[in-house]
Amino acid sequence: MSTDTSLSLNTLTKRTVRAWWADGLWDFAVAGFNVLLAGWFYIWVRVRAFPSWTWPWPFITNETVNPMQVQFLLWTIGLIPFTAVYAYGAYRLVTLLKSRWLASRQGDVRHPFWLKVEPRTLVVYLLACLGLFVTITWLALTVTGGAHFASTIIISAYGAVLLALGSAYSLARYIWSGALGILACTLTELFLTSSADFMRGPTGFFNVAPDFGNPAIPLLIFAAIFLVTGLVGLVQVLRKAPYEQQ
Amino acid sequence: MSSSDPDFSDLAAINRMVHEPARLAILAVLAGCESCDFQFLLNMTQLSKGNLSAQTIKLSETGYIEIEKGFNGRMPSTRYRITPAGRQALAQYSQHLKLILNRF
Repeated sequence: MSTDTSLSLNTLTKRTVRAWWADGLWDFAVAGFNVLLAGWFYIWVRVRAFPSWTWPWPFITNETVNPMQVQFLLWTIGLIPFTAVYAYGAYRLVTLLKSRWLASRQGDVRHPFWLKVEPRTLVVYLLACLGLFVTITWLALTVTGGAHFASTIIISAYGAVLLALGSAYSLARYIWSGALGILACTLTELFLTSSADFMRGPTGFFNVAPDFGNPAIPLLIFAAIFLVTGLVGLVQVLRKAPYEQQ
Repeated sequence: MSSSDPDFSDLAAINRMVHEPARLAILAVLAGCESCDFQFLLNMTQLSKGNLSAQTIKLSETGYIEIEKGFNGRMPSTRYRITPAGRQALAQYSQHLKLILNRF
């Protein structure tokens, strides 16, 4: 045992916490959430940014004063219970799958719904998030002359959480996938998107709202990345022989 | 002995139930989760089955962990969970040891 006992203890405890992400099942749950959130944002941004956009409420005409106010508010607030229900449902499902399907290969470990993260990890996350937001905004202003703040927040938040978790719990696949996601999303933002006309509305998926952008784009890119990282983690676990055969 | 000299009574007062490396490893693993089964604990601590079983019984008798026997589907399963007393003992042990190491 090392003389730095606290380090050894922390390492063992961290390895136990890391087991939550190691098999990749949670990555699939996050990918699913990203796809649903992309759909939610797709509507939210268009309703918020373009007066001509009334879907999914086509019965409301443009002549009405503030036609989408109540619906928009309900749509916005609805994200909170939706997120809570999805997160708890996904937690229960992932816990069940780990227990019934993967326990014979990696043992059965149950984590609390609220995982306590070290304060240092939170500081790293906040600094990375802020740093990414400032850098991507600066790049967008320099290269394209305008920044898409909602999209940039999504890129920064997801990129930072992957980098912070990856470094705190030695999850190499989160570090490279975080870096890859940040790069892919930033390049898409800079070179593939264009700002839509305010009155006419967007003409395509990459024709995005000025100022807001289209957060569905980074969310779907990160969803694809989470699917890959999930598969990588799952394959690693499935390659291990069940304990009975060891 | 001056007040700055190491006081060996500190060393003698260390919690020996936690200080034993195998039990320390078990508590450190359990501190990172809600509960886990025997296989996971075995995998993480790298102890032998007999030693792990003996040490968990000792920790359970002290009230630092709880042992729950049940079934995972149709397979018998033994689960382990750290108690609040176990968590507190581990935190106190860590502080105590840091204090001692800093003074020597």
